[in-house]
Amino acid sequence: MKIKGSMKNNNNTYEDKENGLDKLAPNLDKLKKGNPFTVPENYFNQLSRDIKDKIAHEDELSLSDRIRVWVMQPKYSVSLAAVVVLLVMVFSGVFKQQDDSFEDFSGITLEQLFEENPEIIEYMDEALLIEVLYATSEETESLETTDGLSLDTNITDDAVIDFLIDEDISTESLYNL
Amino acid sequence: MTGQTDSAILEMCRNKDSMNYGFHLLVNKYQQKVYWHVRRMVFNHEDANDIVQDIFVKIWKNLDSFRKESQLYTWIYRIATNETLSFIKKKKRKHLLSLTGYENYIADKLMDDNFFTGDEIHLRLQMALLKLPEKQRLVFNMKYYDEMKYNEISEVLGTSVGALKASYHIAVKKIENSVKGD
Repeated sequence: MKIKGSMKNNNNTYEDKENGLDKLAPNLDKLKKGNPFTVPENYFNQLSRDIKDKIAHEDELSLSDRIRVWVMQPKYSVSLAAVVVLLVMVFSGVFKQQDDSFEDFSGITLEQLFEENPEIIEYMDEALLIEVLYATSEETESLETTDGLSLDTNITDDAVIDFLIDEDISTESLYNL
Repeated sequence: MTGQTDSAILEMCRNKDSMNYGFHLLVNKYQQKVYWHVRRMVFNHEDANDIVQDIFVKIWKNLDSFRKESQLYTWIYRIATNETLSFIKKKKRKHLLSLTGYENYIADKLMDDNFFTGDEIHLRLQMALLKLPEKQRLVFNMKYYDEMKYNEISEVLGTSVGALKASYHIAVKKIENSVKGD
């Protein structure tokens, strides 16, 4: 069974006349303001119960349910996934700064450095090694080579020339090296 | 039971001990007005039923934020209107890529609707209303069916009285042409 919807009036009113509906829209004005819509039987009694149930159901939703519903929305789930990935990257050290600050070596001598990190030699070419040795020559008077020989770090230009003369090494042969 | 004034209902809603009963009175007082306001906008009962339930849940959740400056019925109408318009917007978006479109879908539904008992002329009137832009339809319904004053409609829709009068005039002219059945 269907229940006819209630309307305020079935006939056009003084308000309509005042608005000039009879002149503006005579056909509409003649039409009875009947409600062509109906609702299921007992609908409005049931509606207030349905509203009450819906409110009770929403109130029962726990915080975790609400978060889950919120998170499952596509617009939020993408952002959340991005945040999770970012956090994983941060904690797994992807963004961890490589610990290569020279300040970390300032407290130790070159000897200690080589002693504690013998593999470092493999990463240094000879030119760089010599440069390092010269750079530290002011601090270190001499270094012992790996075969136990003392390495004089105070070598002057004259000494080099003397060495070349003594060893009979021509400057041409040096260029051809 | 529904003879309570709005202020008495609100007073009960604000009191923790009587808030459930107060809200029960509010629902009983306004459910039919809200239902028909929505139904005339969306035409079919199932959609109207869903929207009306959502409207009252929203009213329940926001009762604390209701300001006394506006009248209760204005506030309820405003929530009902906004919920209905956003529902229609979602439906339209959903039907955007379909071959029929939202209006044709509603028109087809209306013709087979068991809860529509109007004759041919009323069907023609509803079809004409369906073709109106939503806000024009709203103004027409509130003025023609609910017989609200322009300043009352203005409070609900936040539109000037002048704009409402113009909107109603245009809507009436369009409907008159449809009802004439040329």
